[in-house]
Amino acid sequence: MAPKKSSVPVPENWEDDDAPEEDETADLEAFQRQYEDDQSWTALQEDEYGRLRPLDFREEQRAKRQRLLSAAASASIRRGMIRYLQIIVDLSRASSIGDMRPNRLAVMAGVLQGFIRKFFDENPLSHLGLVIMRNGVAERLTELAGSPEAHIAKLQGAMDAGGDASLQNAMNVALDSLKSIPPYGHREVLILFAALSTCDPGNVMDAVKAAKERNVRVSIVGVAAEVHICRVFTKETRGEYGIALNERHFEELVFSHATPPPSLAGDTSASLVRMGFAHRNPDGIDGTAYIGAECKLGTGGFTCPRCRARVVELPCSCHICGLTLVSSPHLARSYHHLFPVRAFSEVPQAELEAVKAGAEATVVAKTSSEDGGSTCYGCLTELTVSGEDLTQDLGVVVRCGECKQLFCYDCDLYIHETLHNCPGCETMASHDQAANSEGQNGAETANMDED
Amino acid sequence: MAQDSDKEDRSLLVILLEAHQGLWSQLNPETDANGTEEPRHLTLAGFLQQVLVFINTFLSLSDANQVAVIGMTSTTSSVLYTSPSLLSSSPVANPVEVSSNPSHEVLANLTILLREEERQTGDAAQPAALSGGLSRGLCLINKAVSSARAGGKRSALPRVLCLQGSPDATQQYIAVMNSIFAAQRSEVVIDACMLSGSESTFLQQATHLTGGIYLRPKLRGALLQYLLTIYCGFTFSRSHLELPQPLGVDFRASCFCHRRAIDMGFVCSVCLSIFCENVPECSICGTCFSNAPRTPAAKRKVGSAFTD
Repeated sequence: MAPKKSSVPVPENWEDDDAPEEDETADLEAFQRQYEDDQSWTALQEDEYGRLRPLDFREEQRAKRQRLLSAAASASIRRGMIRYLQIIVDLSRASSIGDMRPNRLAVMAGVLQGFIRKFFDENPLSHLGLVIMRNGVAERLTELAGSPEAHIAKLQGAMDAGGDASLQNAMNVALDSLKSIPPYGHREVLILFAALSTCDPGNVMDAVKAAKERNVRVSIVGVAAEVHICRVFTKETRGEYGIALNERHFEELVFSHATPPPSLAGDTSASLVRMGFAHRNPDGIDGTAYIGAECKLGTGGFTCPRCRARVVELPCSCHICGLTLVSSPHLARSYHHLFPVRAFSEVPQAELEAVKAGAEATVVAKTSSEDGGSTCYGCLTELTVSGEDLTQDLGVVVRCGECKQLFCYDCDLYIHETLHNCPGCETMASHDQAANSEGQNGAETANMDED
Repeated sequence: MAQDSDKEDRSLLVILLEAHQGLWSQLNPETDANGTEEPRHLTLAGFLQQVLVFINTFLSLSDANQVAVIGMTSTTSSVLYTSPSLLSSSPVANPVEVSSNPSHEVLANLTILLREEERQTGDAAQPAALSGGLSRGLCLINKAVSSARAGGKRSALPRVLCLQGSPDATQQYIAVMNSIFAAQRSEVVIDACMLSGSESTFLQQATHLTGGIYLRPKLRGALLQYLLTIYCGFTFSRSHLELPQPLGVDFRASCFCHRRAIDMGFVCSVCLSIFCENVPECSICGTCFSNAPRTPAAKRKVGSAFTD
């Protein structure tokens, strides 16, 4: 089914004598021929800080923007906001190979830690669990739970590799723990796969069938090469399959799973979930109580509004009455997935020159000119460059379609990746809303904005 | 200049001034019981005087400190002043510019801003666009921090101080929360000083989540005292100071249907909107809910004793 592993160095002395050496020199010659005409250094330049960067970095920026734009364009679709994600980590012998520096295992561990933090940052109401594949068996490292630090601590303690990977065993464990989640939750499995084979007790297609039946979305990020059974898994369960080219690409691929995936209306039954907004208890002597399921005497914590039990942190489910306890910022953290900033459009260089000329002609003080002249509205950087000084060039300039303000490339990234607000639109927003009581996002937002 | 200052504590302070005209008439009602309650009063002129003294004091604490002042009105926001070293992307700052006077620049630009506001709108009672000001401030900070990092230098410690007077604009809720989370992610501390009589939930949440200080001064006329004693010092030295303790922050949500603050509610699993009662259809995203809400407690029928 899956190709037998070939890239794995086999320690046994099955190859011998001088034959490989000749191969090696032939390889080297081929390598030299291939890169003979590649003068990559001519496409580089030095910037003001001595860093090297490509001459046509605009293209690079455009490519990155393109990825952002596609994310923004797909933002109006329905997403699974309450997720239950099982991460399966491949700790088989293949993950100790050193084609990524220092080895695949260290890279996977580092990226996974970052991912766990980012996952809870973007999906505070979601749950996550860890399963590892090692020595042909699957082991449940952590149960589905909400706290990132607990997962990371467990993960750090389990980082040694050996044996084979078994997709079927791992899927059985993962599906088992996803069985008991509430019907509105989105079931997902993310596999970090290093091996090129799977060593299973039965037919691995049974696992595919079971995942499909239970509506579990299986996504896989491979660090070696594409494997047929992984492709089948992701295709059948409408997941995503990516193969990492290098360490950075691997991180990109894994982190792309932090955003809630699109969901079909029939995937999960939508329902109203009863949640409690817990009160924070005062610190100090007045707030002293037995807190949490462990009944530790302490101060602070939160009080469940239904049964008055004290819990240590939010979000969690009350250990007495089972009510989901959250605070309003936890909900607000997810709203940017639902109301994203519209994608900005690129302004051609010629138009930019015209804007600058116009701003200079009408000598208005810089603050009063409505479209901010030729400076970035966010960071006030000069957007047009005088002369041919390429090292000062800022690259792509963009404009917001709503408020017509200009932004530099850095601010564009910051606004779409971190801030999720257009500063120009926000400034105009209160005026607009005063005029016709309708926000930037239409009537829906006007209702939503309450707190 | 920049090389020497790498060793010492440097702050980058972005001050958000709410400066629209309607605010000052709200803050100082004409009818006054005693007539001579001078320290509680704060006029625009007095406010600006005190803020300018604060800015100059802050700048004189260290020549590496940087300040940006953003003015917010109900219709626009504009950057009133930025330290020259903040804007020049090249590491060599022009020595002539360094000696520029922030007071003049702030006042001149503020006058322009207020004139423009007057021209644009007749109704000056609208609250200022806090979200817009915060977003612009965070963009400025992001640029300053990232360019310092690219140059291999340690960047100044970024901080935002909101001087707000008007009550929260509820339609800005999502935008303000987005800004707060962005600040939290980029480790920007948001401090707030609320000038009006009522507390601001937005600013309370902002300061709580980013580790800043929230204060509603009792004597608004003595604003400078508060600013100097509380907001002037370096962020790291705060642990050594006796600062106002945060009061409880209200993290309760209000439902989207009646705008009541609730302890317990129902959340739509698709769009996370909050309702205070069991509704058959989500009014925000239009989803029909197939079944009654199920919680583990409801299933077990144990929780029924606790429900109200």
